[in-house]
Amino acid sequence: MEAFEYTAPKTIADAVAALASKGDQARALAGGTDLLVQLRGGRRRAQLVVDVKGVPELNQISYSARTGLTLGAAVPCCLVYQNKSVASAYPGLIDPASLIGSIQIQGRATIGGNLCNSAPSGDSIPAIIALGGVCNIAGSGGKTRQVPAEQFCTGPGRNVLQPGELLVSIHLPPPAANSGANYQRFIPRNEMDIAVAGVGTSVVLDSSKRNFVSARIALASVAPTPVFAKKAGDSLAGKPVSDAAIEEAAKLAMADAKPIDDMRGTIKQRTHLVGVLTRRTLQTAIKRARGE
Amino acid sequence: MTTSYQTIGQPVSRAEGPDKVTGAALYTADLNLPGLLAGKCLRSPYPHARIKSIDASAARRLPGVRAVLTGQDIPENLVGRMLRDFPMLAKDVVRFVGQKVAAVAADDLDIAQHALNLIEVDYEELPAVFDPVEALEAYAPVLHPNFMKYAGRADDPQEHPNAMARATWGIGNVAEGFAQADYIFEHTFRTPHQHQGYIEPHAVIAQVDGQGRLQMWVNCKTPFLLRRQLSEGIGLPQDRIRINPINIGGDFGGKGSFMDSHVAYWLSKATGRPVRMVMNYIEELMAANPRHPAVMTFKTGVKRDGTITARHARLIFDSGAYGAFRPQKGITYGIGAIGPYRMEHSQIDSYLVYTNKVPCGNMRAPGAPQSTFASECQIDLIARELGMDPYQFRLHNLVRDGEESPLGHHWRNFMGKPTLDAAVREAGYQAPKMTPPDLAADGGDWKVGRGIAVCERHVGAGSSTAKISVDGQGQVTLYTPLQDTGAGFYTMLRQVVSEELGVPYNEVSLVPWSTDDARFDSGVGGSRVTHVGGQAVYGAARAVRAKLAALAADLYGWPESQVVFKESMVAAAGHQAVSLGALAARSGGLVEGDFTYDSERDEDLTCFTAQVAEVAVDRETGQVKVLNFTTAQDVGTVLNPQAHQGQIDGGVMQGLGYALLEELKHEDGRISTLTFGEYKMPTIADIPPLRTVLVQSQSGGPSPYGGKAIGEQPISAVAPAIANAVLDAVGASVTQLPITAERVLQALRSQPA
Ligand SMILES: Cc1cc2nc3c(=O)[nH]c(=O)nc-3n(C[C@H](O)[C@H](O)[C@H](O)COP(=O)(O)OP(=O)(O)OC[C@H]3O[C@@H](n4cnc5c(N)ncnc54)[C@H](O)[C@@H]3O)c2cc1C
Repeated sequence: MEAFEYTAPKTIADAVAALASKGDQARALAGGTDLLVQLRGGRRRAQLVVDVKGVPELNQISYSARTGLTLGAAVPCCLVYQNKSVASAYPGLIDPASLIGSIQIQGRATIGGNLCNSAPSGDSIPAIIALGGVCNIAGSGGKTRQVPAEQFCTGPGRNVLQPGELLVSIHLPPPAANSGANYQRFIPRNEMDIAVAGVGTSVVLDSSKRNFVSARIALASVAPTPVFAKKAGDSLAGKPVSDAAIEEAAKLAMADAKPIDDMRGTIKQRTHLVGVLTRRTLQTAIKRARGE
Repeated sequence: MTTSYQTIGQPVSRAEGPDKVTGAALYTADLNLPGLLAGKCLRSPYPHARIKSIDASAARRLPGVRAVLTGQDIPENLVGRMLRDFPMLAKDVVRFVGQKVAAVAADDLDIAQHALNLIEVDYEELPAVFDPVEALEAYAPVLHPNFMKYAGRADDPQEHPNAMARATWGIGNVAEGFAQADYIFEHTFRTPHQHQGYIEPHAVIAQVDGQGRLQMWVNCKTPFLLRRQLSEGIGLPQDRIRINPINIGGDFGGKGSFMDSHVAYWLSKATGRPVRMVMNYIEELMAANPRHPAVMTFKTGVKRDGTITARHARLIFDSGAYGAFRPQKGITYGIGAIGPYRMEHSQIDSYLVYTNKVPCGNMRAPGAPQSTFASECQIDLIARELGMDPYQFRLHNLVRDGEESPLGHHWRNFMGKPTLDAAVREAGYQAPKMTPPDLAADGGDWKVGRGIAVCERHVGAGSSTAKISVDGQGQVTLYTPLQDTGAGFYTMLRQVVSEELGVPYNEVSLVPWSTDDARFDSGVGGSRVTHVGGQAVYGAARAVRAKLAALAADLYGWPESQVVFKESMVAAAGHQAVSLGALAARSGGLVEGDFTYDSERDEDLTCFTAQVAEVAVDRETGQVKVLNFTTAQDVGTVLNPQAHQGQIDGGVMQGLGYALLEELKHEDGRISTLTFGEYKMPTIADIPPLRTVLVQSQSGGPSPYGGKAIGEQPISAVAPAIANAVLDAVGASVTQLPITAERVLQALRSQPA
């Protein structure tokens, strides 16, 4: 690993200034479970590492049924799933938070880091897209902007953040009545593994709980970025809950998957898994929406 | 078996354990010598290419670089454990991705790494061959045109220039046996590279000392053999080379090769300073010495009632670019391939073949997990075709005690049936199959199945020496040339001393020897140490004991045959006991005994293993989860039940990785699984509850107190037991390891509806 400088600012302004001072040679450090591995392996270079864990806004975890969830970008996964109100409002977020890595990794790894690392296999990203998440970004001169989660990643390891920009938090809207969400992935091992394919879904049912009002579906590990399978989700809107409707959505999700063949899986297997996992996550999301 | 032993048979914990967990134990990379330099190698990016030129001038000019060596700068000697076909640094041709082309010694690793980037090599790519079956085709490129000139090659004639070794074993005449069959089955199976996955990568420090002697610290478990291999490569006589003792951080068969040892010497010689070379794990996964992949075709003839009439196995082991990491002259891989089944006609044709891939070496039970997978999977496929339960089919054909093995051996006290029965009973093989509730609830289409597999394996043999001394304080010291690979035998050897001299096992001090201190030792491996090392230590302990008893007889007039050693005291009935130290002090110095033990393998003795896997298979994704795994093992006296169980559990886990996950994947000769994120070993979450039944054989084995062997026995039948369980669960026959979800799905799709 090459030597780098380290700074631990206490404010957004200082963090952004530090990042801006070195342009693309500065990297933010949250849990470090991606960054340190990449620096050691020579897959990323940094002259300056900006530890953002000391910035209060990035440690925020605040939920209200009226405004939804604001999740600071430096909050580790374990604090997400240990938070009772967050856990009961967003089981679909707890799914990825509790399966990333292992207990040890979850003590450090953040959802913000998972997003900013922008791996196609990032487990929390489809879940956040399905839940309608929005990224709050700070830039120099006090500028801020909001980017919907589905527009955040632009390529493997790449995203909309410009040099000098910082992800401050992720906002999730309050869960609608009769809604539910779920994320599942397929891995060869039972833990500590990289998704061959992953699917996050969320559904809103009507008051009878027999019909879809709306749905959102997003996919991991089947394209250069996480995929928002908009048509697949939209196909459910207004339809009665049925195997046929779910099957149709699964087919559309498979059509949106553009996987490659690599050592982790083939195009055929990954596409097949998108279908299976779309069905399974929709079924779980529906159960959750029905309070079953 | 009832025993009257004190320490033997007790599950005592490791005497060497505290030093390891506190970090006090030293490994090669821990050593810091004055002036130590960092060595690193430049490796070939091509699977097969001619080296047109190498320009190392920029690297040589880099500040902090102390030496840069290419094949031009060192002798052209080829090296190897037996077959000498491996250049220390490639000179004209590279034959696999990862082959060493140049070496740098520098003040630190960063400088060395930087220097490697400055070396320019001009290559001309050559046609390559990756598949071992294709390597035997007439059109395949010949990888070693000078093969017939190589030292240490097998004596039998080459059928094809890429076949480095061939062997045929068997009895009767298979053509005759097939003529007697009602049905003949033929299947082909494939297995991948498996890396040993030890924690400590290969590491070596070489230092040419003031007297011009090579001093080496290296994590090699066969230092006496390494000394010879070094001598052949670097031209120093063996007595000018000293391999010093050091701990080894895991072996599993992989730490018997020379790896960077020769290059480290040349760098040290060129710089006049000690040089340390530690492979990183990318280099380990790219260019160490993994288990050989194999392509295996089995043809089996059976009668309608399930009686096997003949079996013919054609085994092609993919050695990669060199054969230098195999310790045998001929080929021994696949010798147990036919299985422990009764038949009059058998034939095994086993080949070792060159390809443009990583050179392979030994891993736990070399050759056996491959052929046992093929053999035992085919047994189930045949049983099912015949409508017989695979257990009944095995019982019907299993060699019984007193009968001839399919290679014509007469196994004494053969434990096949009792061990198989014990496994079946313990596993609840015949009980109803139920999907566990947590799986039933997760949305998958799970089906449960059970599978059996069996294997047998010899007890290893070889030579070892030991010395024991007792001083006037009663301190007992054991000297051994065996290097600690982490398998626990430093505790077992102390138990032997403890048993014979009546001192607490953890008060026996153990001093490992260098190669200067003993004549020879076969080293660790091949299910040998408890037998060979154990007998050497036992012999030395008996020698000391006899001397002390004679001394006591002399001094006190005790009848020599009645002297007993217990609780650090020496006593004889009706006399006042004396402490061991007080008695030894009367000798006027140390009381010492040594012993050298030499043995040949006993082909008429084997250890039998029967295993049962219970799995659940998701028919929608093809995912396999192992729910339970049972091992029944034929044993003699178990010297340390805890260490013994550790070998069984570890062997099962490594077998489970081989069955379901582990594979060095290649794309055009380049390994793509170069981290432990991509080369997937099981984690503890992948390990099901493991059950073990030990089945006591009456004959025991050749180890002291009648022990058999356990290090290699539990691994080979794991993968076929799991494959057979998958077949039982969903009817999918997966004939290629690892059994990935995708392969299960493919097999399901190709099933007749
Ligand atoms: C053993 C192990 C197992 C793993 N298992 C999984 C798994 O199962 N699933 C999975 O998805 N991932 C897994 N990962 C990857 C990693 O743990 C996750 O991606 C994690 O969420 C990253 O979070 P972090 O806080 O550690 O990020 P860091 O490593 O701190 O940062 C990741 C990237 O984001 C940037 N960054 C971080 N915070 C900000 C910010 N506020 N603003 C701008 N840029 C920022 C960093 O510069 C860096 O490029 C695993 C990693 C390891 C080591």
